[in-house]
Amino acid sequence: MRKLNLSRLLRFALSVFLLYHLAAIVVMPNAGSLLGRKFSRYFTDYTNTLGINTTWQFFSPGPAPVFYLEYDIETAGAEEGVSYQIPPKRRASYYDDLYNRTLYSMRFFVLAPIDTFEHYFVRSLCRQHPEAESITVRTVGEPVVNIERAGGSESFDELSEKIPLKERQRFHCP
Amino acid sequence: MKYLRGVFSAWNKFWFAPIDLFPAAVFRIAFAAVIFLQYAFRQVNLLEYYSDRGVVPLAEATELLNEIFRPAFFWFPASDAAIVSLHALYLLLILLLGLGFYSRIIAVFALVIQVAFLYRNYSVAYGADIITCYWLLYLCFIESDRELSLRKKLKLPSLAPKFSDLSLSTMGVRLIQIQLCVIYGYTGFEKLKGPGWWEGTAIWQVMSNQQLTTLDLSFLQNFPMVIVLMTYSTLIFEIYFPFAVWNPKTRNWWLAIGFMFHVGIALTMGLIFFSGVMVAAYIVFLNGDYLRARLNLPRSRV
Repeated sequence: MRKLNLSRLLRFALSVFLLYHLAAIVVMPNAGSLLGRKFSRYFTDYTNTLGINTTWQFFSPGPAPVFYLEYDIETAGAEEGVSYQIPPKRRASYYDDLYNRTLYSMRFFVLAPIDTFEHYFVRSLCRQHPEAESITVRTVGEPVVNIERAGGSESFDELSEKIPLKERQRFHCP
Repeated sequence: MKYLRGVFSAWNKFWFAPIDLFPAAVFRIAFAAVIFLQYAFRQVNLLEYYSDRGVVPLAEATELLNEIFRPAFFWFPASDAAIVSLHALYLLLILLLGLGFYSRIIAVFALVIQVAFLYRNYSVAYGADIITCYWLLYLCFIESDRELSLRKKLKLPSLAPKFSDLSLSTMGVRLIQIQLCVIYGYTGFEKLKGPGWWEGTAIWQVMSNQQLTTLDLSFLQNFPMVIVLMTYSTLIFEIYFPFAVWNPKTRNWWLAIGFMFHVGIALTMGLIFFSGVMVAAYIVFLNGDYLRARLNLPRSRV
C-alpha cells in the first residue's frame, strides 16, 4: 500500500515536471513570440541552468552567405598596417574544429552589439598583437550569384562578389 | 469522468509504462562515441577557446550573457592545467557513459561539465554542443546501462529505484523522441520565413558557401532542378518529421530519409558531429527486436 502511494506521488510529481519541461522546450525556442514574451521568464533560469535555452534555426530563415572579418594592425612608425582575415580561407576538406569554432565565434561577435564586439573581440585582437596601437576592422560578405544567372564551369570564386557588410571601424588598443 | 480517466491512462502509459531499453542502450553507445570524438578534437585547441588567451577572459565571461543564470559556470577553473584536466575528466566520463558504467550518474556529472564549458565561451558553441546538453539531460533519466554495458558485464547491481508500474527510463526515451520532433519542426517552420526556401534555391546558397562546405560543389550550377528538389525535400522532411515519425507506416521511411539527409550534411559540410548526435537519437525510435536482429544479439533476461 505504501509503495503504491509513493509510486502515485512520484508519477504526479513527474507529470508536473514533464508539463513544465515540455512547455519550456516549446516556448523558449520562440521567445520573441507573444507566448514567449509572456511566459519565457518562468523558464529562463531553468533552461539556462541546463544549457537548453536555444532557438532551432539551422539555415533558417535563410542560409548565411560567406562572410568574414578583415582587420589591419597599425603600429607606431609603420606606414601601412598588416592585414589579417578571420577565419582564414578554408584549407582542408576534413573536419577542422578550430576553423569551425573560430567561424562561429567571429559570427557571434560580428552580429553582437558594437560594444560587445569591441569589448571582447577587438580586445582579444589587441592581446594577440601587443605591438598594435590601433586596429581597423571591416566585415566582408561574398554572396554567390543566383543560380539562374550561373550555369557553366565557373568556380564559386568567380560566381561570388565581395561586398562590405559593415562600415570600416577603427579601434584603439588599450 | 470516463474520458478524463482515459486521458490519464494514455498519459501514464506513454510516459511511464516500461519499454524495451535495448534501443536506448544502442543510442547511449552511438551518442557517446560521437561526442567522445567531437570533444577529443576540441581538446587539441582547448585553451584557444576556454582560457584567458581566447576571446573571452574568465573574469568577463559572465558579462557576455549577463542576463543568464548559470550556476554550473561559476566554478569554472582559471588555470590552464585545470581546464585541460577538467576536459580530460569530461572525456573520461563520456567514455564511461559509452561503456555503460552507471550511466545515469555519469550523465549527471557529464552534463554539469558540458554546461560549464558551454557558458565559459558561448561564442564558440554550435548546434552539436547544445544538442549534447539535451541528450545528456535525458540520459540522466534512462537506465541505459541495463543492456550492452560494462556494469552488466561486471555483474554490478543497478542503483535504479524500483517501481513496478513506473519507469523513469521510458520518460527519458520519450523526451528524446519529442525533443527531436521539436528540433525538426521548429527548424522546418523557421525556414518558411526565408525567401530562398520558398523559391527553391536555398540549397544552392548552402552548397556555394565555401565557409560551410568541404567539397567543391560548383558543378551543381548545371543542375538547378536538383537544387530545387533538394530544397523542397528538406522542407517537407523537417516540417513533417514530428508527424511522420509517430506513424508506424511512415516512421522507417522518414528515419531513412533523415539518415541520408544527415550523411549528406556530414559529407558536404563537414558537420560530422552535428549529424552524428542527430542520427544517434533516431535509434530510440527503432524497435528493440529489430535492432537485436540487425546486431545479431539475443534478447537478454532483465
